[in-house]
Amino acid sequence: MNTPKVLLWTGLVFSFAGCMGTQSGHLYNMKTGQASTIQMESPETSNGKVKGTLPDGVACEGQFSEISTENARKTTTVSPMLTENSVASVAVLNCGAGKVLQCTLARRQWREFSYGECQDQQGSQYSLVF
Amino acid sequence: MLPIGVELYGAKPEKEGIMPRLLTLLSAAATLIGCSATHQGYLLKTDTGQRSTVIFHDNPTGKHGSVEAVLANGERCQGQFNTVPDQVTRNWEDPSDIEREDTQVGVAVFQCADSHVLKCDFSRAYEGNGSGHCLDNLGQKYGLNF
Repeated sequence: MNTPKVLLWTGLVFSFAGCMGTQSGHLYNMKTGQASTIQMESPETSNGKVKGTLPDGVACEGQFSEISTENARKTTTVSPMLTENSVASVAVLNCGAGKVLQCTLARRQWREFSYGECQDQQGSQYSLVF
Repeated sequence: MLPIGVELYGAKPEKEGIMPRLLTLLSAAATLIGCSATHQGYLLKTDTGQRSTVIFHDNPTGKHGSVEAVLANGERCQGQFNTVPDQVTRNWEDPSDIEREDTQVGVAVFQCADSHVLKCDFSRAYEGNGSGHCLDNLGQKYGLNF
């Protein structure tokens, strides 16, 4: 196999591996101070799966989708700092027993997540840092 | 390091061996390590004016890293920060390409003793120095400068 073909295959394999990767972030309950971990699947893409646990140990699962920063500011109750050169995503996680966590996330274009803010139906706020 | 490497390349281009390559690699490594900067600053408790020290350790990309603080009462805190670009310089030939992040906004979360957490929103310059404001889970507000 010649060099260009090797490079092409290597690039394809690494691109695929990159898309299939996961990114871990720390989720902090800003009332109790407790922390837990959350994993984003395919974090460099426009949508993907999210799973993790709340600081009290309850397991959560959901999805994230990219939206405009303007819509993120309008439609979500908690929003992290977003700029015109950042990309916004929203994630909704089901955490069992009817508990839903809504998150707004910020990142660079085509890059992994940077940080986010979440809130549950009871109004408890959470901060996310990746 | 770099001038020596350049001089060696210039002096004996026909005998390019392991040494010039090693010097180039060392220069690249030194440059990378040089980019992983540390920025020291302080937290100022809004109601009492008590001052605490804070340190931002940037990773080599200059986009995220770790933070540590010693609060005025001696409490030690550790955590992470991450950023997104605010003002940028774009490549004039390809505007979709960001050449430099002139300023960034970011979030830092410090974990202190006994489930005490402190969250800071900040803005910083390309050189890494900046300012912001923080709130902890006890309802205390702080100003941040680094």
